[in-house]
Amino acid sequence: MSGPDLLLTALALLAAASGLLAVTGSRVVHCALWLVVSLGALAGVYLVLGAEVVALVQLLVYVGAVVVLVIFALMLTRAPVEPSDRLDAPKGQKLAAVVAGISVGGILAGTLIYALQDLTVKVQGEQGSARNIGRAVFSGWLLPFELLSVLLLAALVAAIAVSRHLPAEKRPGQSLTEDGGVQ
Amino acid sequence: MTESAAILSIVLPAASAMLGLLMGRDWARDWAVLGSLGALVAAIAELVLVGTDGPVTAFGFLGRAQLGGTTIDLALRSDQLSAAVAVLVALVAFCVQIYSTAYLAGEGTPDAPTRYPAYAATVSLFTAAMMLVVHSADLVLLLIGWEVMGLASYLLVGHHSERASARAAAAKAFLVTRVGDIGVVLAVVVLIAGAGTTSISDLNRAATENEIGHGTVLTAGLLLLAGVVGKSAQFPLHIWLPDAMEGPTPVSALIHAATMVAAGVFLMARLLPLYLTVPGALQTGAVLASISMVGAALAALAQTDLKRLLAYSTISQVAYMLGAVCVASDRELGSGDPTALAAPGVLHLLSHGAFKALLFLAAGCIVHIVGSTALADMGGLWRTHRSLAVLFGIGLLGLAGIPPFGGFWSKEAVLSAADEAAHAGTWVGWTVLVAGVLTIVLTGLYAGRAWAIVAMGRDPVLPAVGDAETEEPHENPHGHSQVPVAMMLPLYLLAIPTVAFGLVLLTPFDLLHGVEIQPGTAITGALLALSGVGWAVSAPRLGTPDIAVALPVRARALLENAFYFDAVIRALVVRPVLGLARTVQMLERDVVDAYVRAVRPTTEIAGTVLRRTQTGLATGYAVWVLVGAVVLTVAGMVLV
Amino acid sequence: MIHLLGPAVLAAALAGIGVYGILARRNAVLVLIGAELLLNAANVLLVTASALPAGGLAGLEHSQTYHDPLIPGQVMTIFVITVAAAEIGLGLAIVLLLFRARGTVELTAVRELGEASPRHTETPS
Repeated sequence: MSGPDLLLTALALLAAASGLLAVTGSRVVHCALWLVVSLGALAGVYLVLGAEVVALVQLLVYVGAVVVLVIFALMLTRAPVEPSDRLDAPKGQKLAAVVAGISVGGILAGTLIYALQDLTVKVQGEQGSARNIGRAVFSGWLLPFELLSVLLLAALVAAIAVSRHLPAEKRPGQSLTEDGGVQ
Repeated sequence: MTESAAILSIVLPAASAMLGLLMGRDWARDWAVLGSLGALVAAIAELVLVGTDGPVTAFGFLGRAQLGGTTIDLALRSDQLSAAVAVLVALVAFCVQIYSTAYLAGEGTPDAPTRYPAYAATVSLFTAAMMLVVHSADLVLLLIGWEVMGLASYLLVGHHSERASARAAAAKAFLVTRVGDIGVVLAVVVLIAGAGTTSISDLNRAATENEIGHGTVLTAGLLLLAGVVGKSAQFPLHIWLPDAMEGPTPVSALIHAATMVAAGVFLMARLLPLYLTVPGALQTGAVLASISMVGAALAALAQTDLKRLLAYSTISQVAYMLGAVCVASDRELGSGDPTALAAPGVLHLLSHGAFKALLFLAAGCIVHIVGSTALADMGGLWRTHRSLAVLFGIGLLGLAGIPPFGGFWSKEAVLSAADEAAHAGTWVGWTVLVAGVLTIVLTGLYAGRAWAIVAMGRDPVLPAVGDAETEEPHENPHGHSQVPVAMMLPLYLLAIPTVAFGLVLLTPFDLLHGVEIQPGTAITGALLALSGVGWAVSAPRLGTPDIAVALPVRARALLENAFYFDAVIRALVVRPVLGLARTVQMLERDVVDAYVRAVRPTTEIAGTVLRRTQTGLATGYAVWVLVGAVVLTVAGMVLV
Repeated sequence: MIHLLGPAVLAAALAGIGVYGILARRNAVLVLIGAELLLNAANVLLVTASALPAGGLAGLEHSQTYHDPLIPGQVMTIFVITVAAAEIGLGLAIVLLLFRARGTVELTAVRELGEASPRHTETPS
């Protein structure tokens, strides 16, 4: 195994392990932090694979923005800091989730292993440079790029609109407590 | 000319039936009488023309029917046999129509409406159907008339449909004759398949010349015999006839004398050349006829109801005709024409038609007077209504076969035919002969008994001590003292052929030239009949008018219920059929319907189970989506 | 020269973990974390594919050096990250709305779609 391979394997193991902890942890904030680790490790994977701009975007957008957003959301929803057993779904659904997760992962892994086998490629570092990515985005991908910016704008406007106020007539009122809702 | 007369004899009653129904109550009576009179004139004209011009074998009537590869010529034929029977039918129908105008006069009560227009139209239709049967040159056309007769008899027997017993009797008549009619339908099918033709003359010729397979002829013969036995009310399908007495009395006269029961014997006579090639069918018929002859006569002996007595006598007398036809195969072929062998049977058919119509119409008058059909309510007719008693007596003498009345000649002709067959050394001839001779005595006995009870017995309403009042007609709350002229007139008309039937033998009729009356059997028969009548009539001198009283009680009950044959039928046929029907009903209700009913609980259970999956949890639904995706992927990988 | 099997298996593992995270969590924010992992599984696969020469696996035999100037794998990854940012922004807004309306972010408390809900009625009032 070469050096990049070792690095790649280590980062992949880190990403997978921290991802697993992120979805199984019993402390909400820890889960969010494990997600940070997982996403950061993924940025490292991208870097090894020669996609340096993608790795930077991953760090900037995901680790920098998305996770921060998640942590803000956790704060705003008064997520408990101590371990909670109310984070997971009921037992039956959890079992189904395990089966579904293993099935999806197994099927994908099987397909990919069958397709790639022990394929090795030379890392083409230069194609992931900011120059090449910038040229590609602003030439061939210009229209999707602009559409995406519109989408992003729409999403931001929608997020503000949704979270700004609660319509008075939709407020369920007294029936909240009957539902066992948190006060 | 002959053709026109034959067609008119069919079309006129049919048209009068339609016009009588269409033109309302006021005209119904006129149309009915006119139609039957027209048919009578046409039939007499036909008889005369056939005598002078000779028979017409086939002439078109309803064109041809194309049934697959078989062309069926719906043609008529006219010969002496059909013309003679047509005259009888038209005469009886005419008398019945005149009689009915008085018998069913007025509107009736709301509980028992007379419904005269429908009644008269049905009688006319009945007549037309019988005329069609008589004149058909083709079995399919004959079958049409045959079935219409079955319908008309059903309607007429059930005419007083407000009575449950009338409805039951009509259904019984319909169902029992239907059993036989299925035989006729199947026979037509067999003949079409086996012989390729249903033309009567073709069939007779082909059978005689051995062009048809023996099996086909035997099968068809036996199937037709089933129809004959059903229509002519012979054992074991006789049970509908006594119950059919629920119908109006003129209808009984029509059914028993001219139509319906005569149709069976007529069909046998018509197809005799075919039957002669299959003696087995004839022997079967002869045995059934012998059983019917003696059994029905014995049953008639103990009846307590005048109309049922006459009904059983009809079964017995029709059995004579059938027996006479059925011994034909054992007789020598006297004349070349096989139809002549049926002559004794046809002769008895004609004479029986006259005297039985007379008897029934007279019985209708008696019932009209007394207001009941029970023999126990009757008596003293000789003193109160002498002319009616005389006419009734003439009918009974004809029935008993006392010379020189009609029944004597025809019955002796039948016995002579049986005697001839017996001398040919066959058991069939002996069976019919012994049964016939025995039945002569029995017929004499029950005819005499009827006379002794109805005419001679004391008036049961008035006490015997009232010597002066017995001369006067008494007022019965149910009956009437006077008989309308329209009801008496047909009796006189029918009495003429009953008395003078012997003259027919003097005419040079081709039809009857197979008839021989041997002096030996004739004298024996006459003496036996006389002794029977004398014994029964002398009964009042012994203290009671009813000689049946002399029988042991159990034997009398056995005979009165006709050997409990109805119970046998009920046990052997009705119960199993009803059981089968119940089984089918149960299968239908509990098995077939169960599937239909199961839809509701199945849907409910499925809904109850499936609603459990509707948890409302978004992630729960996502589980299903992903499970479905996984299943589809795996299926795709496995299958592709 | 590196083996591509590693990142490919990583993508499969992340996808499985993401699916489990979406399905097994009760807390809405944690469900969104599972969704992020699932998106990243796709990203890993895209970047891995971009390491192949133009034409993908079929292009291996022709040339090891020719590149697609549009670099679809990596550009697509950037787009996915953008969409994910939009998605998480909107998703968290909805979660906040849910919290403000119900006082909880537990998805088991939101059962209006199902018959098991105590507030369920056949006809909306």
